[in-house]
Amino acid sequence: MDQQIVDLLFDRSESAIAQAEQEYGAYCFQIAYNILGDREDAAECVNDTWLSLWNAIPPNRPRNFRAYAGRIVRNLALTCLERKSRQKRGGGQAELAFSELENILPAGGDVADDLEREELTRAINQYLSELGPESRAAFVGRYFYFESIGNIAKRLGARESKVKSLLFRARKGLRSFLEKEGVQL
Amino acid sequence: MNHDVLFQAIGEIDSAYIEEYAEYRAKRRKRWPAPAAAAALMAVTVPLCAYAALHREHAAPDAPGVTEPFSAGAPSGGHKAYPYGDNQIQTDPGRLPDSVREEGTIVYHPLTGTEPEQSDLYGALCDAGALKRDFFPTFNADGSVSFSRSSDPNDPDAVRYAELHAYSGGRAEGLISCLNGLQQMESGPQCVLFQNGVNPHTTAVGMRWQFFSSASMALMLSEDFGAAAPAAVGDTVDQLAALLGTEGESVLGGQAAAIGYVRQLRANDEKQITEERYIYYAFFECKGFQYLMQFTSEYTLPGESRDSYGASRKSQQICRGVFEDGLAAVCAFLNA
Repeated sequence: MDQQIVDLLFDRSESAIAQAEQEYGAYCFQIAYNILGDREDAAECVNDTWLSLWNAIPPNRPRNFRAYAGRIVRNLALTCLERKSRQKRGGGQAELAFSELENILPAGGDVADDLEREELTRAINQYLSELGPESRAAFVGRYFYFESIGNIAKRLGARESKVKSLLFRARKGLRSFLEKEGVQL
Repeated sequence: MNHDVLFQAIGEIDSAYIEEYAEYRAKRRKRWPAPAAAAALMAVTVPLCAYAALHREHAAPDAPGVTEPFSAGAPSGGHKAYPYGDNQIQTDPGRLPDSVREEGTIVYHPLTGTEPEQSDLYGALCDAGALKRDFFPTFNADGSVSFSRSSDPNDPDAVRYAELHAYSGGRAEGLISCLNGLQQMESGPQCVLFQNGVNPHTTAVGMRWQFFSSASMALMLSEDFGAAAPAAVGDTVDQLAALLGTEGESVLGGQAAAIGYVRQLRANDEKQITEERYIYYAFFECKGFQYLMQFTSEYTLPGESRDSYGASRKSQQICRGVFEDGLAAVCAFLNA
């Protein structure tokens, strides 16, 4: 189905958007809602996602359409959150997730000065590859998808306390790994 | 600022990890022996039911529901960005009538035990393939073949096409041409070489066309689907293959084939109405190859040519006709 949607986008067929919405509307909505905590804002982000996909494909031909759409809606929702937070805080999981990762980051420095973002991504990918599937899922669920602890626990079939513990260890491990990789902490 | 950079970096992590979470399923817990499970169930449900009965009138009418991660609906309350529930395969869809055509008779058999996520055999083959190389050939009026994207210079689409042609014993172009000729075709096919990843060699090939708004037809061939395909495909092939040589087989243009189908239902929670679609499968063997054809119809309201929002869609009857035309064209080509 993913390939079909991409093909339709390459053909400039508007049914691509209808199919993308059918297949991944809920998926994208959930990511946006996790971040923003507001249904209307989330729905608006999802609509913007379809437009972004239409503009991005072609020339891009994503190998994994769902993940590609997930990245777009995540970025749009984070931008929307930033805009909102200038006025007031949003009600989603993002603020909590931000605060959880604060201790990993350099105190007062700028990560981008020490390591390009691409390098940081490479390091995180490397770290994730070394984690067990359950810890990795918890980390990705929390910090990519901004899922609540409760929802991650349901997906993993684990107690919330276990998810919190997995996340605590994953954050601690990431901090150590980034130190080892030369990120100033 | 700092957490922005980190979150941006996390936003670029490998797609495999993003997919892994979306597909993550908790390990199944051990089942209790039936008597113990029943006793435990009674112990829990009886007090709960009593409690619920006593407190029913105090329950908040619109208390927020628990949100399933990536469930089909949005959180309860308010509007839904995506109105549909999960697909359901109807367990007893009834028997579609035989179709008597000029080329022969098609006998339809409902398939059993198919899960919704297993019904798309082409997708299952794509998902399971250790190595997939796709391309999009266009047949020009002058008889030449061109490709609709910039090729990977290390693995050009023209080379992939040549491999498809070679694997199919020189039949690929003819198969594509006869299915391209079906009326109302909206695009050329996506072609895929499915290969094993250890010692790459082609184990199956597939071609898929898009029809109408959301219908699709796929033709897959392999020397042995049992070796090339995941369990979902293998189970369906086994069910269909068991029909060959029995009274339940169909014969089109001298080609024996087994025809199966499933009926999928999809609830539109917003409209409180259910849509249907059919997925048809044909399996046959010819000249050393196994062929598997899959046609997925459009979702419509039962018996109608529109979906739950009133948008025009091709009826199930029209879609079934396209499946039969495609099958007849392929059988005629192979037995010419």
